[in-house]
Amino acid sequence: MSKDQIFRNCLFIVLTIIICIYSFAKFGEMEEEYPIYPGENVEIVRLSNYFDGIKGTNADTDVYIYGGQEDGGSALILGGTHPNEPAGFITAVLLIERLKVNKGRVIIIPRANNSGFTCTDPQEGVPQEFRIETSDGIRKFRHGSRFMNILDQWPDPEVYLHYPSGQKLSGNERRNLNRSYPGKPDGVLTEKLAHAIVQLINTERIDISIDLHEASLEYPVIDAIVAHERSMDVAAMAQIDLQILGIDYNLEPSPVNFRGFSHREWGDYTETMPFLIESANPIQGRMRGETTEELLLKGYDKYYAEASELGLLYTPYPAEGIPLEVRTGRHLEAIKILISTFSLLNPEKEIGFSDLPSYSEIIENKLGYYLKTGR
Amino acid sequence: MKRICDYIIILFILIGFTATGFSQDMKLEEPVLLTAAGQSADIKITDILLKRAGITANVVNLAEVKDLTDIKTLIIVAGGSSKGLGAANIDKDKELERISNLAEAAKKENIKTLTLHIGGKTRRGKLSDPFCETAGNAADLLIVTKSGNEDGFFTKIAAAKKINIHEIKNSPEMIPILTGLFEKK
Ligand SMILES: [Zn+2]
Repeated sequence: MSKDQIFRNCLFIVLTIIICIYSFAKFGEMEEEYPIYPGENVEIVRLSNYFDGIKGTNADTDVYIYGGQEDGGSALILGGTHPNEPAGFITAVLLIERLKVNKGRVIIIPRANNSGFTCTDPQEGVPQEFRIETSDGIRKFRHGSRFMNILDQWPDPEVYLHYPSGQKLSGNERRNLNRSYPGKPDGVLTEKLAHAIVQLINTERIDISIDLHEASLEYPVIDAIVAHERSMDVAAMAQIDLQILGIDYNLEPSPVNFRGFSHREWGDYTETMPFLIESANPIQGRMRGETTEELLLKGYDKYYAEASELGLLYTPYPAEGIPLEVRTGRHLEAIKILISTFSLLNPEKEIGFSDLPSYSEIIENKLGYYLKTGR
Repeated sequence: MKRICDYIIILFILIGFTATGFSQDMKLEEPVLLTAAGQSADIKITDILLKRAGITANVVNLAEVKDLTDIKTLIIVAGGSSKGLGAANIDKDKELERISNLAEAAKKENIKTLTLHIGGKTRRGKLSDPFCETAGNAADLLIVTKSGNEDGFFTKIAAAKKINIHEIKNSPEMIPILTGLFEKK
């Protein structure tokens, strides 16, 4: 081996070590959880209180319980089922930091798939976090993976058989919380997590449950409320009222033969009325270009603009993009109207709440205005 | 001068009539059969809007010819939903055939057909357009939201068939049109 070769080999080894150290540190950063600052009159418990099979694992997560002075119904709101869908997560955070409940109870799980917040999806090149400017400084939030972290549940099978239906899905879907309901107490960690959430719904006698999501613009179920048969009346009335507010939602029935989804199994395995809400998020789509924090926040991508002109998308794509404010505002209005429609139809289970901004207020004042400063 | 005034008044009346289209609309009668072409949940929304307009409909997602017995008005809500077709366990071709048969039978029985499209852009495109076309061509009258008719898809059908079309901004705007058509107060 010549001196030159030895030098090149050494250089290669040193560079490899530097890259390893850098990426190790970057991956490690994801373990750090950025805080959420709850409002008053909240009780915070762990999800493992409802099923101790997830205790001490990365699937365990915080549950925020807001109870009113008066008795009424109970609502559950799930953010972060898919941690790569930031509007769902940030809507849950905003609720935790702003919401005041005066009648009944509202229970919020912002990081439903807590494990998924500790990694991103391989080969997607998405940012690990995003920043929102508040009135007093910048706050950081995690952007994670659609799936549970593979370090928490390994290996994936060739084919995932959903329990108990036996429906076949590709192997990695076994780490997808929204394909794992109603869950299995002695199953893999994702199934245990799903079981814990179903246990919470049963134990707390949740009347109305809302699972917050986002989807890419080329996905046909977009800007949608997906409703179980039992939820359909409330969903249809809410859809009309949202239209009157100028917020268009498509109403989709939950197919009986698609198993594992919250909108299906929560309805079939508990007494709750389930809903799933989707907003349109360009950073999730295959047509996107540069995958940056700016795309996550502003939702503008020139390739999507082009795709929209060619009529390839299922949803209108405005010239200014679909910013996180719009997506969060849509989620919030849908939550408000779904809960108030439910209360109208079930006055004995009324849920009363206040202090949430409107869609137009969020657009006008921006998200950071409604989040705590973190100081 | 008076003559010019008269002309102007007549002109305004004519513009008024063509713009609203109300005067040329047929009257519709109950009993109503409500079905969906493409199995979207827009049928549920329509049912609620009909109720708000004081109209009771027999809602049959997969209505067949036999469901037309004693019916005076058939309302078809056009737009495909993959989730809906999945839930109803019916494929696209069978669904199209069902709508064609139903429309043909309605025509034979002198049952008026009102076709609605309220799902906007999402209920257009590859999956939905065949349903929109079949249901549109079956119609005696069309009510569609603007966002689903940006390319003039329904306007063209209405022009070709020489039928009336109401373009509305959002689905709740359908309520006053329905009360007018069914002469509800
Ligand atoms: Zn999702």
